[in-house]
Amino acid sequence: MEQAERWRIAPGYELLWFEGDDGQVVYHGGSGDTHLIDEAAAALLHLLQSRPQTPIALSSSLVADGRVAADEAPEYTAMLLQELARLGLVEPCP
Amino acid sequence: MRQRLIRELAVLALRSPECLPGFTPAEWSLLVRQARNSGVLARLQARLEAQGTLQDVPLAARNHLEAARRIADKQMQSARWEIVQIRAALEDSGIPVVLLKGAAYLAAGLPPAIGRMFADIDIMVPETALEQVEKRLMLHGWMAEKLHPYDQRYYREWMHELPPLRHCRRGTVIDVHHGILPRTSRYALDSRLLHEAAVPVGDGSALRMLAPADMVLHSIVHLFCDGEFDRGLRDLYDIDDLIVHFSADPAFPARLADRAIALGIARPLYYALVWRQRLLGKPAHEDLEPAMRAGAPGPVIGLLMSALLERAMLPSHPSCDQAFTGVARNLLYMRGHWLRMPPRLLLPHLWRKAWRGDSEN
Amino acid sequence: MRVADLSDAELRAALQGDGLDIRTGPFACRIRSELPDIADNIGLLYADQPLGQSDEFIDFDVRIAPPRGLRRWWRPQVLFRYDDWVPFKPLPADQAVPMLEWGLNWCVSSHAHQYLILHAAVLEKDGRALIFPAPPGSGKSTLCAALACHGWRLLSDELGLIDLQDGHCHGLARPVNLKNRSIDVLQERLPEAVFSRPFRDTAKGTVALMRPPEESVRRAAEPAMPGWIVSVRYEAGARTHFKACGKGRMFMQVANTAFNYILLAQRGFRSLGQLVRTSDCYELVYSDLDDVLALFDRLEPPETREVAG
Repeated sequence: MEQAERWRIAPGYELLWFEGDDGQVVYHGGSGDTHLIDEAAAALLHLLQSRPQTPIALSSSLVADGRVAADEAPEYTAMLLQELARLGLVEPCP
Repeated sequence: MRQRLIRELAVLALRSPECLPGFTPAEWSLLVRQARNSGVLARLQARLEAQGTLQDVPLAARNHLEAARRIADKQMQSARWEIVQIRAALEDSGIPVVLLKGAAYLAAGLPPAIGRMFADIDIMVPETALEQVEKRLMLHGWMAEKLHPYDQRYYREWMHELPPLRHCRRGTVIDVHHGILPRTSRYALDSRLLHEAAVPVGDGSALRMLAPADMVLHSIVHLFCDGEFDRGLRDLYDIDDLIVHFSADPAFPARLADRAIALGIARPLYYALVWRQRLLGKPAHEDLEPAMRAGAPGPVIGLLMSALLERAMLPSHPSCDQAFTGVARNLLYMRGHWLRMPPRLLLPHLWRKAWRGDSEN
Repeated sequence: MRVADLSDAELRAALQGDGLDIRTGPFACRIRSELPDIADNIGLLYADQPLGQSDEFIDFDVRIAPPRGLRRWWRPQVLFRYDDWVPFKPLPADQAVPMLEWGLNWCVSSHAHQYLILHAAVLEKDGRALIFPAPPGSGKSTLCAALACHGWRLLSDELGLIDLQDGHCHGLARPVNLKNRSIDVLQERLPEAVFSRPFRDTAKGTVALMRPPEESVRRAAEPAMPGWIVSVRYEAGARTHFKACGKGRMFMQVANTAFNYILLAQRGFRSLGQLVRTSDCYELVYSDLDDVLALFDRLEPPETREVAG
């Protein structure tokens, strides 16, 4: 994964949120799908909702929030992005 | 007079919604069911909402209208997403893809999209590109439905179509056409003319849609040549919406007439305009007269079709049935087949269907 | 006026003629059938149901009738008709009565999209709703029937109707569907309850119907605020296990079993979110019915929470 390539929320569709005590449920207005995602993935999505970001920036935020150790962060971030991309929620900026 | 009124409640509601406040609860009960059966319940809700008179509908009936609108809105959401997926699969292939019917209305923001029940997505591509399109769609998860080998042959060899392609994960269906009528149809329509005239959808993508006159004619041909009139009222309203929308251009009616004659489909246009007047109360523009003259059937056929369509165009509901409504629908169904296939294919086909006892195709 | 106020002759005449109009919760139903079995069981199970007003809007106009043709007489079958529409395959004529129930459930779950429709049993006490979202075979019907006769008001054994505007739960107070073992268990436990005869060899095994308690029918128009959502599972020999459940997981479970959650799109998401947010969520595994009834006797209502948008 290109560390300098920016990622964004798949454009044109609203995301709705429900905060549970065991994760967050997100609704994608385009696909109509509903997903239960863990706090780290939710944090990532919220960051991307404010503006497109690079994987480096995202993993720094996750480390700063204490969600992952610094040395595991890049791989963890890449995995989260790939999972969210698979669900159709995020995409690399063109 | 009373008998006629009950039969045409749905027609009346759409044509003259100002008479709705006078409806009794019993009439509302029937209206809702008639409208639902012909796929116009959501459209009625949309029309009343746009006029600001929805809150005057009695609550119990209003719930049914709103429920239908929710179904239509969900289908619209799904259709929008499907169009996004189709773009992703086909946009950079260099193949010109023309969205048809509901998908085109939705992508281009045309009036018939609102309150519409979307089902499959229909697209049209050049005949030479069918194989490549199927391959690309398969790469993106669409697959030909598991069909009896006879049905596969029906589609591919006889009708020169692809069978419907269903997405393996989403379950949604694309119908890939290369023309708006089967190649075996008695109306010999050169689909290259349609491709040449196609215009961009206007949503910033490479997707295209039929030119306005062709779009209207496609909708007409779909209604009057297919044989299935269950959604007759809905299709007629689509046709009307399109004609009204495109007639903002004063040259449109003449263009429509010329195109119908040029493509050899003045007859279905004739029926559409006659029934648009009879059921919707909208007379045809004078520029359409030449096409109506060209398309008018002889007196015998004219009388027969009038009797058949009078029965079939009303909603498929017991309260709308007259004497011989069932017979009329069957005859029109067979006519649809006859128009689609020449006798040498049709007779064995009907024999096979009767033997298998199904009613597909 | 209620169904029980009609004489037997009047009841049959209505069913065989222009239809019997009854109210089930928010819906006005018109039922037609020539089958004596239907007349008998409506008289038995729907006795307390209010009759419809004359000239009322009818939500569901249904008919249970034999099919045309051979199966009318040879190994007779019956069809459920909604107008001209036949949503299900025919069933043996012996199963006409449960077919009417399944058909009426289908009418609601296919059309009543002014509600978020959960596949759940719902009861009420002190204005709060106890919701059991669970797949078939989980034991929720047994528990539902027992609670309905133990201080809880029955809203529905199958369909949880959540009003999209105000989030309240609405009831139907129709007969409770019971299957197999639970029929014997409940007949023994509830000697005063009224049951239909058993209907054998259905797709769900042997089924029987229990008449809804009179109070639940009388108060069917009273909605309930959200209270508790309990995911329940019967497990033979298990000790009662009752534990708080994560709300994210509960959201997904209810969403996956709701009839029209997907169809309602954003509205469904918001409505379900509000429901889960304002309810206490639990998981329950049980085998001892008495133990569980006592547990629910002690259940504390959730604090009334501010609904966050």
